[in-house]
Amino acid sequence: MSAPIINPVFIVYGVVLARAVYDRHGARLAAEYDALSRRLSRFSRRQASRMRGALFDRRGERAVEDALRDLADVNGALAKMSRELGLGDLGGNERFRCQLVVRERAPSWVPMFARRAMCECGVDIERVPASEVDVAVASTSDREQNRGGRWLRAAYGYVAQDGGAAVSSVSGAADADDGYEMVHVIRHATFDEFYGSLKPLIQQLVVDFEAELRGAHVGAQHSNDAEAVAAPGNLDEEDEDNICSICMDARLRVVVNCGHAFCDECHTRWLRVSMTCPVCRAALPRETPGESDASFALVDYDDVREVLGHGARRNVHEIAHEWRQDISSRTTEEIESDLRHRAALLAERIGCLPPAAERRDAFASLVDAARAVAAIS
Amino acid sequence: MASKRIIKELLDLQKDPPTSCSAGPRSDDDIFHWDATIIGPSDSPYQGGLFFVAIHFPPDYPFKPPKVNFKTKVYHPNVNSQGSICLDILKEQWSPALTISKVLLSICSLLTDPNPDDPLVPEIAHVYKTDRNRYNELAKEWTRKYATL
Repeated sequence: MSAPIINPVFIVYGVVLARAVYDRHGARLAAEYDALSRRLSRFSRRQASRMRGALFDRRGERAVEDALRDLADVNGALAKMSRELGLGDLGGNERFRCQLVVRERAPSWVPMFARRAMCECGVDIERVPASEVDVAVASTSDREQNRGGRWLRAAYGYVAQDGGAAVSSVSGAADADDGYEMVHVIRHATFDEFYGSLKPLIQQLVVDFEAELRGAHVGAQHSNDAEAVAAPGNLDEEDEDNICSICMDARLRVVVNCGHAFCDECHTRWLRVSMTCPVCRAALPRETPGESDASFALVDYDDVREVLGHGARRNVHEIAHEWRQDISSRTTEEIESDLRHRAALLAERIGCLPPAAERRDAFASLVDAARAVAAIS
Repeated sequence: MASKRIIKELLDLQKDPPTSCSAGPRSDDDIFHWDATIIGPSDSPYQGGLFFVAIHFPPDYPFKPPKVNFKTKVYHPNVNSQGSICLDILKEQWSPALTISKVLLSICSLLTDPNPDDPLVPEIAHVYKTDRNRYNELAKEWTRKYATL
């Protein structure tokens, strides 16, 4: 009299339903699997894992602060560069600002240790009114609910320009009257992109700006002497190893992962054409979410050594020396137009990052899929 | 940027000219159109020939490859009757670190070692694969007919 507990009809129905769901969402599931394995494999990367872990460890508060401090540095630099060099002059008197974003991608049942690997830390690059001034670190972070996933957005304080020392720690998108409605999140960089290339490029620009323009006033009267010293002889021939092999003109500034170096502009332009090294055809990692950055801006000796590793082909001290030489023998106008040009390139590079909205949340789409299935049945 | 780099290449070519080829702008007021000559490699049936090549640089050179065409008729599996050259580095394998002198050298070595597996003229490739003597004869004849001054 009692019906069998497992009705074969239900099994068939279940199989058909599962098949239908898989057909519909198979590609998504595959993409999710890829993203997950990539993320797990990257988990071993030293810096990434340190930052990532820190954001979830109680003990790691400091690392969060470090990241925020770095962001504050970068934001200060961006503000200065937009004032002085027109970096990111976006028309409507706006400029770039970076914001730390942590996105917890895992659903709640995922255990803590795995959760860490699946969270995505990154930097949103926003457009804000140019008048706002970024201040140092706000030490708190607040959670805000967001569609599809949990966002942990570090609170970021800023004050109006004439506000002086009055630091108001304004939290995320909570208030509408603090200028936040004018904020457009335009681009998103992963931590690797941010630390690997954006931050060094921005900081290098600021350092060069200060060193060169400040030095230029002193150097102006010596420039003739400097030219007289720099110009004669076979400088061109000696230089050959230190110029970009693409434009055969500008100095090397970016080292890619195979150890070859190019200038900023050529590197940026070539990345849009191909993902292989122009010299050795080694694959350059994609600058897409979940992948490490393709390049490393040359900032100081340690950076260079870290990138080149033991495969270094060139004497890094020499490169650095050349650059300094390069700086000392130019006129103020040349320096300024070069800096402006680099600022424009930097803005272009930011523009090449994927828009924040395009960073798909695969778990969110799984949740959607589950909801869709629930709705069908 | 393109013209700057092309001028640099021209200066390099003048400073250190390659032995088997020469190249330079067609006229002084257009740096983007070059003419080049390639001397037939001595270990090939093209020996003794002088081959004229037209080079056209795109405006976004060196991020796009230059267009290189034979102006002299060549009997070769990878060169068709229009003078088009089937060479990977002139298409998808282009790299901005390559220069015109490297490209011309590659064309020289293509003359010595045709690539019949990726032919532009299947008939010539077939002859090259099946009857090497005939291929050598025909290539020599064409060289004598078209590429000798």
